[in-house]
Amino acid sequence: MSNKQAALDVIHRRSTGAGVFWSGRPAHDTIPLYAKEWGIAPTAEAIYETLQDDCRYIPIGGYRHPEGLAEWNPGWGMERNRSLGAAGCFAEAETMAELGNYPWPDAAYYDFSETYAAIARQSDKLVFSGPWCTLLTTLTNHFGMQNYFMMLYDNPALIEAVTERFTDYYVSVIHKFYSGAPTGEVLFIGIDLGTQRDLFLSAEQFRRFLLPSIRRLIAAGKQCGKQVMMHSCGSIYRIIPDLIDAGVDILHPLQAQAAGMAAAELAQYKNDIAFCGGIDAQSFIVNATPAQVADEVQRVYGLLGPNIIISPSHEEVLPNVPAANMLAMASAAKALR
Amino acid sequence: MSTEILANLSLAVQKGRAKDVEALIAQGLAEDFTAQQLLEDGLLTGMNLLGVRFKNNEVFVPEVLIAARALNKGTLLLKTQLVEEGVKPIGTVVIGTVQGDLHDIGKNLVRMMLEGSGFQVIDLGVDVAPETFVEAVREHKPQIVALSALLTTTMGSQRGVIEALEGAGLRGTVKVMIGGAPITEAYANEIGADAYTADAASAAQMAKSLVAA
Ligand code: B12
Repeated sequence: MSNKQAALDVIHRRSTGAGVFWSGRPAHDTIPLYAKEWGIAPTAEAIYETLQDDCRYIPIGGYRHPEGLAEWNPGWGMERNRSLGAAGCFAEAETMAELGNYPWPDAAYYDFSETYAAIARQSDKLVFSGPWCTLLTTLTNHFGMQNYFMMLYDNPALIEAVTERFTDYYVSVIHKFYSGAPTGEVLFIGIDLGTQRDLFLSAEQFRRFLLPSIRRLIAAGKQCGKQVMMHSCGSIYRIIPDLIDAGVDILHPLQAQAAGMAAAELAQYKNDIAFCGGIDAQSFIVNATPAQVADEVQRVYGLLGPNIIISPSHEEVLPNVPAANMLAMASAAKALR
Repeated sequence: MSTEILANLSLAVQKGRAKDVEALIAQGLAEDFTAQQLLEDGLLTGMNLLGVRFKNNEVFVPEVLIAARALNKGTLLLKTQLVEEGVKPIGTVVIGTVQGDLHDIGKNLVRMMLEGSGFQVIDLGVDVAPETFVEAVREHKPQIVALSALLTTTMGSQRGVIEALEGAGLRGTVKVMIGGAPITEAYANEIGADAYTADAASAAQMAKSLVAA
């Protein structure tokens, strides 16, 4: 049995103590392994069923451009090589005017009927949904990873203008999505800002180039009556106060081994924000015994609870995580009082 | 001939000012500095100092990138003179992100810091198969092979490369350095790598001591 009410209490920071669990989602190669071990159908759905999640993430879908264009086209009008850091179609631009030919996405092309239907099927779960708004990735894809970072120095005006334009778009998608129903309880956005050791860019640059947009995304979610959960991998301890101030309700995934992100260090914020994640997926749940996983769930809950959704520190559960450890995490979370 | 130029060159690299680097190199050559002096006591000194600040989390990825760009500008301008003076790279490193892994930001920073320490670097890119590393070692005869892995599911491929080098009878010819978010000293020992470091600046320091040894 999932416990939606308990999950709602957690995200509104009024839990009096009940274990709430989200397993994340199994990576493609993880599904057959768990299915075999548990003797269930090889589907993510069957895995969620076995683990008895209280929450479900339903990403939005249904972007239907009349000419079949994707929502984002970082390789527009060019050959873009396979490397992730490769230059994108904005790499050579100096002004917004030069980007006139780019097929900017339009929220009007979204048809959310399938997303709404998928959410309707999960009415007993706490549902995270809405546009992922992966702003920094979208920027680095269009400029090229290295170009983007250098252009913060070379052409900050263009970076600010493009960031604003992308943000306008994301805000319009948020409004469109939440004008229909059902939409779940939580707007889940993901902007990876951290590396293992620190932020990608200084806190000052973050505050100048990204925080204003993040504020707008959060404000849009709140305007639509949603709690906002923000995902960022890596070490982001320097800017957690900024995110709290910007209105983030729930912080995900708490990458425990990244600098400054251990549960003991995050505990200082437990009265300001709810948490989701925190059970180290980088090496701990890969190597631990099920009993150790259960102990770790209790330890993390003791530090960050009661307003925490117990979950791995990366939502994508990779095939090297033993099935028994996911079961142990689920049952330890359920057993919490 | 005032050594102020060298200090300014170092500063220009640290601040990522490629245009200043260009002007200072021209000035330095006009004042009869050797290309080697401008490279080692100006450009590379600057990159090393910046590396230390990156390691200490005082500067971040954007600052390293603009510094590396300024450094490249400078070394390009000095290229012909360096050849004439007979200045050689302090060693060759073959670097890549291991098979199954597409993360390249950290690997690129390590490459830049190695170049900033005077190494010639052959970058094989991402998702590199063990056999490709072996071929590159045969072809380029590097002193060091540097392997980056960001996923616990791909860190095993670092061991795979070491085994492939052993299989090809080349393990004795190179030192193997490993790194990436999930990597630890203990893991490096376990798989028989020669060195591990947690950040790019330390990687360059380590590489220097490996070729000196
Ligand atoms: C950016 C990022 C991505 C980007 C990569 C973009 C790119 N061009 O590289 C994208 C979005 C594509 C991505 C994809 C994935 N990612 Co990712 N990613 C990250 C993130 C947030 C930052 C990595 C980074 O760039 N750091 C910046 C650089 C500067 O740091 P660095 O790489 O650590 O390198 C430094 C040192 O490690 C060292 N170093 C690096 N290499 C070497 C080599 C040598 C020889 C030496 C000596 C030193 C050294 O020096 C560098 C500079 O100081 C990390 C979070 C984290 N904690 O690291 C997750 C992370 C690595 N990703 C993770 C995951 C799970 C994935 C995916 C599987 C998820 C998915 N399905 O989308 C995919 C896998 C794709 C694939 N097959 O590789 C997990 C891995 C967990 C685990 N179990 O290992 C992490 C840890 C996030 C988390 N919350 O747990 N990711």
